[in-house]
Amino acid sequence: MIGPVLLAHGVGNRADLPLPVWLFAYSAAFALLISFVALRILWPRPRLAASSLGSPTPGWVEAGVTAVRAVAQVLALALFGLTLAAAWFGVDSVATNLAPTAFYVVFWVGLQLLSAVAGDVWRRVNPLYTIAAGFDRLAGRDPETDTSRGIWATHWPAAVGLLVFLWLELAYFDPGSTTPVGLFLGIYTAMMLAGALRFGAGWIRTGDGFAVLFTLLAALAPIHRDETGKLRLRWPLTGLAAVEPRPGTLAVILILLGGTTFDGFSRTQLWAEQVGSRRDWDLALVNTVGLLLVIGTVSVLFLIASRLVAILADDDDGTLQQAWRWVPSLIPIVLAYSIAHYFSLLVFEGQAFVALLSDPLGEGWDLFGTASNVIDFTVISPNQIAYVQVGAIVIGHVFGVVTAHDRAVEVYPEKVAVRSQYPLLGVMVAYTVGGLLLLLNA
Amino acid sequence: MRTHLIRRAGTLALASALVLTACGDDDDQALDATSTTSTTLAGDMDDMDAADGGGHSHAVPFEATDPVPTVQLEVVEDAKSGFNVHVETTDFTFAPEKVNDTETESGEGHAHIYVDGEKVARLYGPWFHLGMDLEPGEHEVRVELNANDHRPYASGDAPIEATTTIVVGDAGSQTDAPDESMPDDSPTADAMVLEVDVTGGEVTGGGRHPVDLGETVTIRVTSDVADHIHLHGYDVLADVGAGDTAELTFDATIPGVFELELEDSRIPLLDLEIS
Repeated sequence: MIGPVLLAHGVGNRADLPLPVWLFAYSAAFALLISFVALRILWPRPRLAASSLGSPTPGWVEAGVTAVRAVAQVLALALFGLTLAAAWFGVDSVATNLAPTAFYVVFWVGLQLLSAVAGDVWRRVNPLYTIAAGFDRLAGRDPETDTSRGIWATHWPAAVGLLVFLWLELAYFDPGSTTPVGLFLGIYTAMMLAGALRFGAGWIRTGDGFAVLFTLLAALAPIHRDETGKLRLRWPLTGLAAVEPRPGTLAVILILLGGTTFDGFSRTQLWAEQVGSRRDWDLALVNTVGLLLVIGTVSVLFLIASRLVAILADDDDGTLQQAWRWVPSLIPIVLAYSIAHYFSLLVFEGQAFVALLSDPLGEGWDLFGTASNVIDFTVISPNQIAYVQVGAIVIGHVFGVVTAHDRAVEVYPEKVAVRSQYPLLGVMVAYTVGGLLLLLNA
Repeated sequence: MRTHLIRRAGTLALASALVLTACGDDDDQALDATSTTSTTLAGDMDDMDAADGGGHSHAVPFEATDPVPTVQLEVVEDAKSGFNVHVETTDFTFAPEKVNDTETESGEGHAHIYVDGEKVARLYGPWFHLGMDLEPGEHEVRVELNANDHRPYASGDAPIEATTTIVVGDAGSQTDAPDESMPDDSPTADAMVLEVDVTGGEVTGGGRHPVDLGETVTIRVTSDVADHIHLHGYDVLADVGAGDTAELTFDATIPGVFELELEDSRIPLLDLEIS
């Protein structure tokens, strides 16, 4: 008998209703239409790169941010410690232990959204960086140091770290249990700090998969720091033009895209039939195969498209160079998928977080008076959730198309730029319609 | 340069707006139609049991040439007890085998019967025995026609329904015992019963079950091991002994998809899709 697939992903009391078919149809049609219209009428000269620097902010903004950052660093460190304590010493229950909710909802989903809106806040607020920088200062070393070379200077370690995390969240059979969460957090922290010890605290920005992801998403934000460290304001999309991929960056993006796609796919009846009534490691094995297959499919589609684009544009650069060009245009789609799949989780389980803060270990405490708070499932309606999901995917699609177009006219001669876009456009439409299809079965 | 960009963005916006309004036209026509020659379904996605109708609707327009169903109601006191309800319809077909389907052909579906404004049952055919206990005095009985997915039929803005008033005599004239499936005292919404069995870790009766928002749901779980059953989101718990059956009853007032789990064994039993 087919089993339900809801709690397969650790945290969550409730899953979203399937998208109404009419909403799916209109959105898919709209996304398709706007893509072709956009290609016809969008700018013939690149615009984003020139605007990516942005204008300086007034002095009081700098001062304000510095003050808030200091508080945020302390809070992040405290929350991190609390989460570790809950994972290692707390009661093993998703409902009453802080760790799974803090990790999978507030951290994983919350920080993706925060980075896209407020910029790369995690850069300085990352507790791993705070700890590593502390050690560096004690040893008399500049905490910005990064002496890594070879593969350690690429994003491949970050990609592997994220893949392991996604395996834990999506493939393992009991991701909400405190043991795997505690194990992962402990080992991950130890490895990051070991790397920081070797290469300097600055390496964390390269080696920590979460940090790399949040930095990439921060390219969407209207606020950023320039090379001299000053805060600047810019138009939301323009930061994407300044993203510089290195080996492994594309892998990070494709792993993310594939992971979120698999998350959606694993909630469908089709997947439930494949899984049957498997439990424990049987289930984990099937999920692992599924996860890798989906990441593979998403990646192959993209690589074929970028190769076709290069052929159509008579591009002589290496395959990798060609693929890296389009990395920035995938970033809005990554964010859109995260919003579509996890927005309601954040709204509902985020409320649970407030209650769990008062009783992190599940021992019956009430530190902040919120321990008996109940999730209010009526704060948003299924209608509103559906519109947010669809809105995110369609807007993400539009941003992706615009960014890809801008990069194409920057790199290719005008005559060639438009016609070369079609394969990439095709892949993006596939991602968009695919993303919407997944929501149909919720 | 700036104006060039703005002009292009404006063209894009205009193009999209035109397309959207073109697509949206059909709906507007159906909503505004006041002529009795076109049938609509009132109510949108989260307004399934629209006893009061109205509100912002996304109507599914039928063809203007489709006949409009009508309904008439006759309630006669039964010789033994209660009342016999006879629902006469034209251009309407009862389709109980398609209940809960998201698609509805023109003129098919089922009916809902309300007593004093509260839904009492679904009607899958033209005859129904109203056997519930009613206070002496006047009561309003209303029948409305619904599509397979429970949205009410409407002609223009007016729901297709029939109402009549019945008079219940003194307590002495009601002689029969209460009907089997009717819940005891006051009129309640549809009672839905689900049965699940867990043996050796294998679940029968699981999967995803659609539930109407507002329905009262009873779930019976038979388990070969002693454990607790927990409905997430609603946070309803019940203990079940080894080889025993536990029963959970609750009102499905929160929309969404919720999982029922055999807690300690961490075995998912079923999903309820409440909308």
